[in-house]
Amino acid sequence: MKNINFTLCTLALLFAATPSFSADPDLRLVRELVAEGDHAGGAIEFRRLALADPEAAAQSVYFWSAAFESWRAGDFARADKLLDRAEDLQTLPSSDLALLRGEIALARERPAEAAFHFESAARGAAADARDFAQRKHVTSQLRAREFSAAQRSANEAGGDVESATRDYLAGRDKSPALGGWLGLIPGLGYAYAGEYANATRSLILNGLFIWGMVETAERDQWGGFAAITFFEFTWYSGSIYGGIDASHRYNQRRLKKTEAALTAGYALQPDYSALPALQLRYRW
Amino acid sequence: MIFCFGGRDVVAAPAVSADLALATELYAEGDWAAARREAERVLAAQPESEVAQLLAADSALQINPRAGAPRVELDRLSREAQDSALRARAAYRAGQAHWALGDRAAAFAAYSRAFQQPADQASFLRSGCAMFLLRREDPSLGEENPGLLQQLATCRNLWRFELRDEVRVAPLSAKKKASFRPSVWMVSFYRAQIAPAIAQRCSLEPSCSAYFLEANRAHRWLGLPLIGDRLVREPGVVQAAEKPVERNGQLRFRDPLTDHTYWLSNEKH
Repeated sequence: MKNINFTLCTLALLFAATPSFSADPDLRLVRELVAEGDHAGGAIEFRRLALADPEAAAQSVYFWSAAFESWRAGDFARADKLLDRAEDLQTLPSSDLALLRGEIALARERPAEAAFHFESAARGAAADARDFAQRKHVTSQLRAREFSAAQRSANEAGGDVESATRDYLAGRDKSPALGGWLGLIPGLGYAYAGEYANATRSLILNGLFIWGMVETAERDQWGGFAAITFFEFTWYSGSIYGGIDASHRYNQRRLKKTEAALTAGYALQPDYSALPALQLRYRW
Repeated sequence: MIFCFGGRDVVAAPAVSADLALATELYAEGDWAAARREAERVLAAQPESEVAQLLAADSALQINPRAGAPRVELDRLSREAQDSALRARAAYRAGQAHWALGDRAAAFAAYSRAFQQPADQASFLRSGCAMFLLRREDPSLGEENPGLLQQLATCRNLWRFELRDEVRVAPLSAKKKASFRPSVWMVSFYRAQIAPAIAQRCSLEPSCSAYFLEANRAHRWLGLPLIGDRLVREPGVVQAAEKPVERNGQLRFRDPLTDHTYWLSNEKH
């Protein structure tokens, strides 16, 4: 009986003394919000936890998590600021900070900055984190169009990273300027980027409206001519803009395909069951 | 945002103080809905918190500038709050709210309360400048208080142009400038009169008319080529079915404007 009482007392003391138990309802709420996909709500709850916790180590983990959830919610500027606060507390490993900083920079279309962060994350990290950071580093360099640097980084990483990068660099991008010029001939800009259905539609619409303009002008129907000309201007300028945009779309698709090959099965993912410690996973 | 709050009226549990700090941060970031929610959370635990009262009222007013209750609350705080700096801030914000509604006399009265609270330098400076601008719209304001007008005249050199731009409030009743673009007229007419009768037929999200108005607003004359391109691409986007979304029980496909203009300005915020 004495032994049972002693065990119960020890368990009760442990329960009361562990801060994670007292914070458990809040942690449960934040886990539920994140599981429901309410990342903005999760970020706010993590900030509340950070502001309520007196320990700098736990605060920085919560600020990091708030930044991570803000990034997932698409609020990149706020994510950056929250990560600054996590960094100011100087308790997290620099690679954990740099990885998220890189993801945020990538989301903000700052690939050169992202490449810098992923490179520094790869330097001091453990094997799985380094693998993830190297893949992201190459992705950022490709987005920044630093092709020779990307090739070097891919060669260092080796394996599928090297082959995916080599395949990308062997292909050719479409020139948006040339796409725009070709768009002067209705539909040709789309065709240049391989969008043949759009090219046909553009050609037919422009042809019909130009024919309408000619017909109304020949019959001196100037009201009709003005109305048809206005619409033809829309189709024609759309053909030029579409030529430029289709080239960008083609280049984006090519890059996205390579990015998917580089990072398939990889994603930065904190394990919230380990809170208030920060444990990151890089593969799923 | 000129205001920051130290949460000095909170002598409560750490959780409440953290909630108030969070509300203050969200307010400073301009996330009005979240700031209001957090301030109300503090008020539920500590109804006497004047900072939370101010944050809740001001955030509510930022969400709906015509709301009456938060304006009354700000007026009350500007008279009755214990903290003089907080009184000044409430008075300044009440002045802005009254000015936005076109009530210049009430705005001038609120600003004068903020001006006469030297504890808060930011409110003093801004409310003085606001009164100066209000008197340019209506010179009869404040005539019953020559001492105040004398003070305003003395401080006149402080109202720099940047400050004037910052404190000037556009009336809510001001009509938007009419657009002189026939394409915008046509699309607006279609959206107001025709679309409700034939129900939404566009398979994309946003619809083509909304896409055009957005493009026109964001990129002016580029709206025409953008909608020309969109109409040509529409069947292809539907066929590709890459980004399905459900709207009012109907399946649509996302094709936001930014997907086709990101290369015009290559940064996301």
